[in-house]
Amino acid sequence: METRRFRNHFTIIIEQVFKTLAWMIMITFWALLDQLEELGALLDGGMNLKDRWIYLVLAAVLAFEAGVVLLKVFAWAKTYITIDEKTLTVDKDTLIKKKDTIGIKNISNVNVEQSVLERIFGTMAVKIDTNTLSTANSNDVRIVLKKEHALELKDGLLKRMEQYREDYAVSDKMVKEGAAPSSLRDEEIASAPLSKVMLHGIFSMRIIALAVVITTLGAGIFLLVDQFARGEIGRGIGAIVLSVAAVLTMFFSASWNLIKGFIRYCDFGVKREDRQIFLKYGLLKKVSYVLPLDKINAVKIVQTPIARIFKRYAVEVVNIGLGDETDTEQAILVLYCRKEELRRKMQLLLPEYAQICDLEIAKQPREVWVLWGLQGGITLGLCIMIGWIIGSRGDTVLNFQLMIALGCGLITAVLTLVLNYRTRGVVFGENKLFFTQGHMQKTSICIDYRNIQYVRLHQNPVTKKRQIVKGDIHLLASKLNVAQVMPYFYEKDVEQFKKRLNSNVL
Amino acid sequence: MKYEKLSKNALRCMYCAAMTGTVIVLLILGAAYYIIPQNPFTGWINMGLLILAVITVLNMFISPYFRYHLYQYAIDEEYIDIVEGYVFVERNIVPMERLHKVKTERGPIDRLFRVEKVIVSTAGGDVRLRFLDVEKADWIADTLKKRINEIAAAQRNSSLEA
Repeated sequence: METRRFRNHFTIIIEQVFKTLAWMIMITFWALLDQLEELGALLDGGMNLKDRWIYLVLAAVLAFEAGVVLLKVFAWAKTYITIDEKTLTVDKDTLIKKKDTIGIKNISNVNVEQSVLERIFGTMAVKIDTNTLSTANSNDVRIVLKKEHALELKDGLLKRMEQYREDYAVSDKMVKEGAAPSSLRDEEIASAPLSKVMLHGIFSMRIIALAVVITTLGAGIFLLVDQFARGEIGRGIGAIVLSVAAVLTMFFSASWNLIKGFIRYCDFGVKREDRQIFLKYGLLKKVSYVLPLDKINAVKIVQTPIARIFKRYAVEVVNIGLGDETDTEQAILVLYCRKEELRRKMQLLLPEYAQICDLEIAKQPREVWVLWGLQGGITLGLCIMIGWIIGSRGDTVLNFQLMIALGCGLITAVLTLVLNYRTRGVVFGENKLFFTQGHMQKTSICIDYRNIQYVRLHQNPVTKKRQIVKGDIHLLASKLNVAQVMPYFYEKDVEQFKKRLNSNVL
Repeated sequence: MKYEKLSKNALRCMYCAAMTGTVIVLLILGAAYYIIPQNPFTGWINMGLLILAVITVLNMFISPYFRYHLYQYAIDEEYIDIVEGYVFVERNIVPMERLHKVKTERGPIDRLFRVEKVIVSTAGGDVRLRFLDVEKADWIADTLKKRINEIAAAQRNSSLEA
């Protein structure tokens, strides 16, 4: 590969500015909602002099946006990417001069993704992940190029990485164990049928998100009806349009989390070749990932409350590069399916972790009830004390409401603890550690001991006395996954656990 | 695995740090006392603030003593094991093979009492060995750096042999 020096495709400016502009419009919109009357008058053409401040707000927004655009153009013009035989350099010569140099041998993943805007412009983003702790995600590089150039760059980098692996295979055990990267086009990966994707959307719905959507919709309608009843809206057609738009915006922003569960995994496809997993999905934003097996640090089987009721399971992987951005928090490998299908898919995709499918997790020690009982007692005592203080004012209605709230809280707490006890547990396998988290949602985690970076164990006076302990497992993973919470287990198992941490050294 | 305890300098440093923390908390509580407007629960709120202030002062005297006596660490060929805490005890176990980087750090209070932190970095985050005497901390940091190099060399050799 000869030395190449180039810039990002200029449409990256539009992409970046579009996001800022969208945010500014949203903020302005919400700020102006309080002034529906004035805005209604503006749309109806009946605006008077005292309403001119709206122009000032809009002018300020436009001026800010123009400033942002200029800055982005400047940053784009002054940013160069250079790729040579051994390194990839991002050179930014803006207000702060910055030069990031990444060794090709330190690149862990080269993936491509395409957002809606990129699809319109015919561009594609090449995402280069490095072998660094993901919390330093700023070390990773995103390059936007014309689609054909992006694919060419991806293939070129993968070939260069392959060359490196061959060159260093005799002197670097870790690399030797990893697979030589190959390339697989999206067309070569079979897509899941739409029905599967829709079912995944249903099973991945979270009860809280659903409750938020329903509440927001209810509140929005109430707000609208209330405004009509007070006659504050019917003064102009513009005001009505704005009120309806406000309610719809509230509803869609709240329900976006639910909706994206349905559309994110459209065209989902996954295929394993040798020691690599190829993954593609996305309707609005198309992504295509190459996941080297040695970069998988943990495997999770997740079940939302709905999925638990219907006995459906999905598989997520914890690694660097996939799922280390807010919009790709869940690095799904298997969409929600039944147990038999899960076993079959895991055998095909990740037989190394397939034992997690049929694992019998031992429940937490019974001693946890002593701790929970004590914690519950103290919390209840505090609640009663606060209730007594408030109740001492002699307000009968308030006292009744407090009693109801206390009762509901108590029932919820007991139910949560029972579910917690029934859901969580730990198994110290020979080569892998297994444990489950959650109470309503269940997550089973499987971690190879050699992927555990360090362990932090916690004890309080009660658990110390009862000889039980809980902990955090620290992994090389995204911010969201870097610490995995382990439920309570017996203190006597700590030494065995400690030995296993070192028995599987790379 | 033999656990080691901290020196008396560490205890002095802990008391000084606790005192600094207590002064800050008392200032915040004092500010809250003046800021919170009069309301039907003022008496109760003031009582709560007073209780918090008493607990903070008591904690300043008690916590360093217990933290000092509970703090212990062990470093051998395979692990770094640190036990620390007061009411809530924390134990960090770091397999030596996962170490990436070692550095030392001294804050202003640490300098007063000639103590230092050794920060060991793994790919999953950092673990701190705190309140170590400067000489001891430097010795531990050097030993760990050597150990990291030894492990890297051993891994390279074993892969060459393979």
